[in-house]
Amino acid sequence: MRNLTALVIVPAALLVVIGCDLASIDPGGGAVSQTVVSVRSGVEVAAPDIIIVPPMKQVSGPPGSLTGTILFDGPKPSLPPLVGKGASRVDASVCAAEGAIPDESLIVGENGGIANVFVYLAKTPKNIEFEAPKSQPFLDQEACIFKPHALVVWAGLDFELKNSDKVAHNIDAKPAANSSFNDGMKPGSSVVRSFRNSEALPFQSTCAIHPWMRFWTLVVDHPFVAVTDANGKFEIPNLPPGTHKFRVFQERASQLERSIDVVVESGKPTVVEWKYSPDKFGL
Amino acid sequence: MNRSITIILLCAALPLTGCDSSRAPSFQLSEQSQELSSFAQDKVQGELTAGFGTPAELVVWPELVVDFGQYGGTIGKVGPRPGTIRIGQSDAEGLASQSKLGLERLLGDLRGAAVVISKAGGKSEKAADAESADKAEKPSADKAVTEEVYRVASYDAESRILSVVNGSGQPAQLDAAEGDTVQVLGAALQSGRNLYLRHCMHCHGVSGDGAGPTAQYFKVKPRDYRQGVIKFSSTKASVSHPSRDDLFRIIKLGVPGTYMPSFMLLPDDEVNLIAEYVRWLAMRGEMERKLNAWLTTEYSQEAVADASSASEIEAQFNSEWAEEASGKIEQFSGDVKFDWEEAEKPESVVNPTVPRTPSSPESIARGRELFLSKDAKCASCHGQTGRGNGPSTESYNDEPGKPPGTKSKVPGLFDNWGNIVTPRDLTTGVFRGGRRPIDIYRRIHSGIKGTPMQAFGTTLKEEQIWDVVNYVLSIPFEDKQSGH
Repeated sequence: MRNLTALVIVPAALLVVIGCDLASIDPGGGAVSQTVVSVRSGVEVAAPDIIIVPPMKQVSGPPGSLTGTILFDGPKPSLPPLVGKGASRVDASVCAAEGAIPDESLIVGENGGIANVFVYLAKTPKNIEFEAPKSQPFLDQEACIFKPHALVVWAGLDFELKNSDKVAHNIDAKPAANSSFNDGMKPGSSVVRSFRNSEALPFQSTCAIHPWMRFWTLVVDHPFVAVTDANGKFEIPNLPPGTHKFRVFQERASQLERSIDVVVESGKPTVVEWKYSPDKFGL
Repeated sequence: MNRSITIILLCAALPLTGCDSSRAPSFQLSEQSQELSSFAQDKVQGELTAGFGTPAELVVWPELVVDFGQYGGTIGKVGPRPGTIRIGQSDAEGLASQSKLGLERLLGDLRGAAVVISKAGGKSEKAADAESADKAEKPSADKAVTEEVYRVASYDAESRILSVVNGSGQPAQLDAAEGDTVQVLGAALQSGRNLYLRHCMHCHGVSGDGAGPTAQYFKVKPRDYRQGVIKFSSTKASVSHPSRDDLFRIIKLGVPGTYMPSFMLLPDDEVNLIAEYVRWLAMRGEMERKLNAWLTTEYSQEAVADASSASEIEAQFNSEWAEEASGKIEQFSGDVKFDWEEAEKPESVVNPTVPRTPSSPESIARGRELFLSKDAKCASCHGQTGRGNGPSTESYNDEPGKPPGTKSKVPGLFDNWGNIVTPRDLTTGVFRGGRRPIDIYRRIHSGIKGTPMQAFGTTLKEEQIWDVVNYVLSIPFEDKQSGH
């Protein structure tokens, strides 16, 4: 009887010890296992298997332009205000004091045009020459609303964030390709910021003190970008003739178009009308 | 009879349950990368492995601002056995640390570290520079030779003999002569990795994603380093990254009021090695994040599903990758380098030019007034009495990672990692980033990065910040007033 018990224990103990290598029984998950080091001396990327002719054809001639309207394919939606007049629990003397704070996530004009839609070249064009702008737009805060709601800034250029309100705000920006920041802004103050890289999509910035406040920023490194006006209209001038790939972004719908081909003819405006159904906007 | 069956069954079952090879540590792709289409994911994985390796095979990428741990010496004699070198001409010479981290203790165990031999007369100081210059000069026929990986098998500091093996573990056929320079690279990284896996991994995860096995039990989540953002840093609001000193301090002192313990019992050089490894893990995460930001819009699984032709989009990806990847990787790694270098600059640290206003009832009263004022609005999050229960903590915010406008089901403020964060209850006197007046000053000046705690440095004057510091430090001791 005793012998048998010993027979069980000894092989069992042996198995536990010899059955596993050190790495798997170490509580650090391999802290004492042997490592090796290699050196990376340069970045090498494999050559492509398939070579594709770049889609943009070089056509000479004076530039054309793209003008158009982004339309809501349905009855004008009525979104309830984010904060009713006089209903703010925070800073009621300033926020929503004179009027309700509207829901700007979808603004449809009388003609069915959608405001604050970003239309831009999906990729920085390589074979078009252009210059960076001399000045940059600025952002302001009035009656606890960010103005403008949709902002376009250039990568690498300084732009100003202002607070014209009588209360403090903060701007909590969470971009994807750049570092995030969160600046507190007392009444009447301003901050200068810049983003190093362009962004593939606009991103949202918020204010923690007034949780309904938000605006969208697109960081670009080319001038072929527009934001639709209150009637959903936009214009992108100085486009070289050829086929261009545009992206269309609306905050509720995200990408209305990931990449849409537009043919621009020399010296002529190309007119487009893009219509989107309410389900795209979660309505 | 029954007993023998039991014995056999027991013996058979033990090897199965006792070992689990899946526990070998590995770097995981982020959730965002996993949403990429398989072809894009493969390239991202390939690039991360090329730049950082795996936990078992680490990669020294000299482009990164990391002290990988470098030793240098000159060859005194090749031999006596194949694959061995005697370092130095005189008895006093040997491999010497060229790293700012205290590495002398590691000299005894350099196993696995990379060995780079540069021909005598090479001007470049850095091993990697020397190596790449070496490569460029040699004709491409020699490529196979120059690309051979040498690694340390052993180093005996007393006899100064370095044994070198090749990639397959055999004694290396060294193309070396007396007077050539030897560099041993990656010793600190290896050591940092081992310390990290022992002390940090179970909460912060092998990849530094803050999702180690223990993390699931915590309300306050361990830091996910992969954004390059650390909450408690001494750097200005305009500098997104922490300095080495900040990391050292956090590891050494812990984060009071959270699960992050103090590692005061570890020697300073070990803490430095961990801090350096954490920086390196963060850089890996940042590179991954930047590659994602570049690729996700067009090559996510969703985008491929939407596309009219999946093969066309894959072909487009392949040509875009071939054309742009090396430029992008250079740009991204340059970005990462810039951010971490910026954090090390002395002028990036918040140092008030005005000495602290002595704490007095007047200063505390001014601080309290600012705390409640429309200029600073501290009370909107921290509450009128500093209990961390201001109105903002009751607001419903957008759920992170969901389409904009999707409200969270629970009220509260979110940080950049998608966790609900509660503003500090200042009545407890426990301050996560440190309780020295300068710590509180820096929290107010730069905010807490990645959280709704905003930077006030640009809108409040230095004296005003000191008044708020004095008030905040007085809160735990103040007489209970109505409202408490």
